[in-house]
Amino acid sequence: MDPNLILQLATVFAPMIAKLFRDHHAATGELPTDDEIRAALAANIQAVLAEGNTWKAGHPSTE
Amino acid sequence: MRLRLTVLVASIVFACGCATAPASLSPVGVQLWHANEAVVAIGTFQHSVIELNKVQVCDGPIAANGMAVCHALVSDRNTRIVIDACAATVRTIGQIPEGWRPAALTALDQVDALLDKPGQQTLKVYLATARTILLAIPDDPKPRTGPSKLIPRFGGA
Repeated sequence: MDPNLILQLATVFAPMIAKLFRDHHAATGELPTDDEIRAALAANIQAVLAEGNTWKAGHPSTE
Repeated sequence: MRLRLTVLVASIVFACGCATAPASLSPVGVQLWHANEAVVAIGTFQHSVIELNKVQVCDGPIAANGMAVCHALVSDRNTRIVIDACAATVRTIGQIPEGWRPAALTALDQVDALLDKPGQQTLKVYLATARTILLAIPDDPKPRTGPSKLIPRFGGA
């Protein structure tokens, strides 16, 4: 395994997760409600689907 | 190399471990919180693979024009496998949040099984890291049971 890949993983992967988790805690300084977590879950699901669909739109299947 | 990997895994697990669910949430809210963490982990795995698909490796034979033949570090086929699995997983979690752990872990197993050999080799550490993150998310709280019923006594005087 190329060590650069590990570094890329560390620089891309970990900060993203940490930021998303901080966002949950932060915002108004108030503790989040169930509804806010439900909304965050729905938004994150849409974000994952959108990123995948964007890639697929640029890489049409040849099979 | 091993040190870097250890630091990486430790930092990610630490990031997960810090994200304990706030006390303001009900048991259902805590469940949604954990499901959200799983979606973030799956999404980040997908994002990493898409980024690796952009990386060109030029280690092939030298062509007639003197240039080495290049290819994507993670092929389009393998990237598509990951994207399809991640999409199915997050949709399932959206419909059944309490099933986030089996849904996510099964998806990683399926990805591993469907990848070709080079893909398995390249994504081995990424799959392992995603699995580590998912396993670091705490279990969901047990659903509250109603007040225990008094056992009726029979045969009393």
